[in-house]
Amino acid sequence: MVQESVTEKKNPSQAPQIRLRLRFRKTGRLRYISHLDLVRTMTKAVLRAKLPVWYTMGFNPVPKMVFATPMSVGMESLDELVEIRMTEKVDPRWAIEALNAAVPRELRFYEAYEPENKLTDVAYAEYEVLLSTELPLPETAESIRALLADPTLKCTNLTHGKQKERTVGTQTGDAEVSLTDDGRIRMLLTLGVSQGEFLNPEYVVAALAEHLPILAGSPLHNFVLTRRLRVLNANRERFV
Amino acid sequence: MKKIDAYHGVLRQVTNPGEYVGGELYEVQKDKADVSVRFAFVFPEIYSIGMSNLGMRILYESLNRRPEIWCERVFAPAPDMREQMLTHGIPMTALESGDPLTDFDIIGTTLQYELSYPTALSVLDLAGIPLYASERGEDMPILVAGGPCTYNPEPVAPFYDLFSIGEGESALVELSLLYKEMKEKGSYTKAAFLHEAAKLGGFYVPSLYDVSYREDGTIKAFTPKYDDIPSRITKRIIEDLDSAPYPTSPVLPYSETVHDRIVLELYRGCIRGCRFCQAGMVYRPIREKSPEVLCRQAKCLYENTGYDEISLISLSTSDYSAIDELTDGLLSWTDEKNVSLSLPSLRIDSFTEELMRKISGVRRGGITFAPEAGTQRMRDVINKNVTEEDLLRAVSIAYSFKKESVKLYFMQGLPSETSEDLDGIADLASKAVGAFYRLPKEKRGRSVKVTVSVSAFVPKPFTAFQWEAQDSLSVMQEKQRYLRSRITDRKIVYRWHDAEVSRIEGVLARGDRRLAPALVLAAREGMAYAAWSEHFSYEKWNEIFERTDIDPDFYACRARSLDEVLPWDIIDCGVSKAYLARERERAYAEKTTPSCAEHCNGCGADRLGGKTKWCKNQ
Ligand code: SF4
Repeated sequence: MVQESVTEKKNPSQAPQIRLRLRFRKTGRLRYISHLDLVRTMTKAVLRAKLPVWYTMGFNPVPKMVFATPMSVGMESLDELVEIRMTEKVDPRWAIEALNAAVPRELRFYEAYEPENKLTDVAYAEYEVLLSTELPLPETAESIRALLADPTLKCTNLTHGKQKERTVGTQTGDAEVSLTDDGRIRMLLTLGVSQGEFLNPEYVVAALAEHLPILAGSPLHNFVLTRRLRVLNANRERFV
Repeated sequence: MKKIDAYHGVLRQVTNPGEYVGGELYEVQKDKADVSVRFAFVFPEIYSIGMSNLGMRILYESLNRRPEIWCERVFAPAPDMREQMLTHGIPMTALESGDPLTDFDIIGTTLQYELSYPTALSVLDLAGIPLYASERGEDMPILVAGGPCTYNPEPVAPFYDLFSIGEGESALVELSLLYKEMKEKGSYTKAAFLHEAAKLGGFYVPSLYDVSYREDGTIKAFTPKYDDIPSRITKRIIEDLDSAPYPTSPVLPYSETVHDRIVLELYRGCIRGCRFCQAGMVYRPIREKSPEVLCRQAKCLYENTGYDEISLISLSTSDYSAIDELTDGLLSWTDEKNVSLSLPSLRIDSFTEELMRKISGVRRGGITFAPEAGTQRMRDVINKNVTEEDLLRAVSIAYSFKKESVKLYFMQGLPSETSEDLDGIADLASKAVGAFYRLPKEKRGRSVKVTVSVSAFVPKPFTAFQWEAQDSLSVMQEKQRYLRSRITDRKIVYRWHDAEVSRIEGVLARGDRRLAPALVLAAREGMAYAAWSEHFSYEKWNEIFERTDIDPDFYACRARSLDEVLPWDIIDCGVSKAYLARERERAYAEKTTPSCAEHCNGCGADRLGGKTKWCKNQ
């Protein structure tokens, strides 16, 4: 899914448009900021970093930022992509440094390049889902494995938004389920992110929760941590 | 497991989880092992409100500049988070380290308005800290409070170990360093520390003063328990604002709820001397920053924040003596970068076309003026030296810049008020509408709306009206009804403040330490966040006063005699009681007092020193 985000800023220019793609991590405390606040933070950061950004023409010129995939509040990510249009070629190393100096430390840029392909080519993302639960671990892990293997697994109770039925089992067939040293259940999921295929890992958890009381009880002890590990292309290889 | 992971499940269930975890750009992180004093700065409001406060940013900067001190931020949780904390036994923590408040050496609370007292106490409750200072042992942090409300610290005196009176930039650093020194020397006990702190100057330690009362309930005397502590606490000031720490990399919130703008403080104090205004008195003497320093700070703030608005703040921005130099200096680069200027507190008489052109910020939205009173007589009583002519000229300028909406602030219930003064409010609003139609069509917008916003007068400590009785609730409400009946023009929108809120403010503003039990109940029985109207209940407050045997009228509706010992007499804010009494007399004689720029009226604040422009002794 490609999401275009525009934020207000003036100063039009009629320079060429060069796409600069940046890879970044959003971890720790930054996982609690919304996509909208992230866009806003980035827009200001671009300005503070003095990157030669290209502004849209017209009455209300804005820098254009395109994100590969939206992130839900509470999710960490080790592999995010954003494209910003520049008016000139910039040294990727300098862009990374300048941006990192202008954003909170739990947001880190680590790769920049002029891309050849499009962000719409991102097809899948790999997630790690850590489940803290008071249920007996090996048995619960086993039940989860069985549920994820069932292609008809459905989520009817979405945690956010409207109630809507969604089949998730078609995408969870090759999920890996294991136990961590600190006593949590770890799931590795590869889910679609392209238009129409997008599946939020939280829906998978919601589907599981309809069958198992994994989230019942105190949120201090029963909760889910989600982290996006990698974004992938249509062949399920790392997207570059 | 990382600390926030432990609360992840809870954070996922609240509306704005980002407001409880910190991590913003320019947040100050230090290694606990490297610092001697851990200071938690509590702003008893939710994050989105507290983060816009300039005072907090300045103190955060001042304290964190010292390598031995680590100052962290604490805000009150919103009601949904508070619920979660209570249900799951989550303690109140500071944003930077995520550590509970009980881990800190010093907890500083800023009290910005009276109705935040219950919120401040509820934060302590959530932290598991006993509210009364006398109930806290050696293992508990030192609690210090400051901010505008602490010019009358008495209502909350039993809760805090001490108060920082006046400007806190260097005082709080000194306090922290005293703490460090005594800890390192091994001479620290809470009692010894507080005694030493009381000698630093500018610190009020309420437990070191006995208060005795007369039979009629008024105060007889404050008596210091030691000879070596001051009998009155003189407020602290920063002598030279140019060299004082100013935050040029303030913590930048990511959430959209917080105002994104650069804030420049032009000066402290006020030359005007409006007789109802506490800020105008307690921040004297007037100390200005130089335009060079301000321009430098503005540029630096722009580079560090990327914000596109610069707000020039002070009690009356246009009174800044170098306003033209400053605005010209700023406009030399702001226009080109599309950064706009805004001047939120402009006086009616200084509102000119030229200024209007400069402040592009004003071009957005409506524009606000504060004539404060409806008749010239009443404006003379309160020493608001503006005329009807000034106002009509100002609104006409606004209209000629195609403004279609103008807001006028007034007060009702001022001393000596008659129905004529209320009629005057309605009349002035009509004339402001009339001024629109007097402009030729091509010089104005299409339509006009004048909003009249009327608040009920609350007598405040350290003003010429500190001895006055506040209107009773029924009189306030009667006046509101009367005004509503007088305003019939459909181009005028009448807004009034909740009289019940003004009444409770009236009780707390001039209260004494006997109010403390009521504040505890208020904090524990749902009156925290009372500053938000949906959490305010007048009935509840009255019930609490009844249960704690407090007569609210004694504090709000009683006229004091000039020789009464007032609860805030323990504080010396610079401006003398004799000056205030003089001003009160002139008010009743309907005589105005010129501003400090015209001549010095001998208010007494110059005794405090400071690089000032106007005071005679300089
Ligand atoms: S001492 Fe004089 S000039 Fe200074 S603030 Fe007071 S009245 Fe104004």
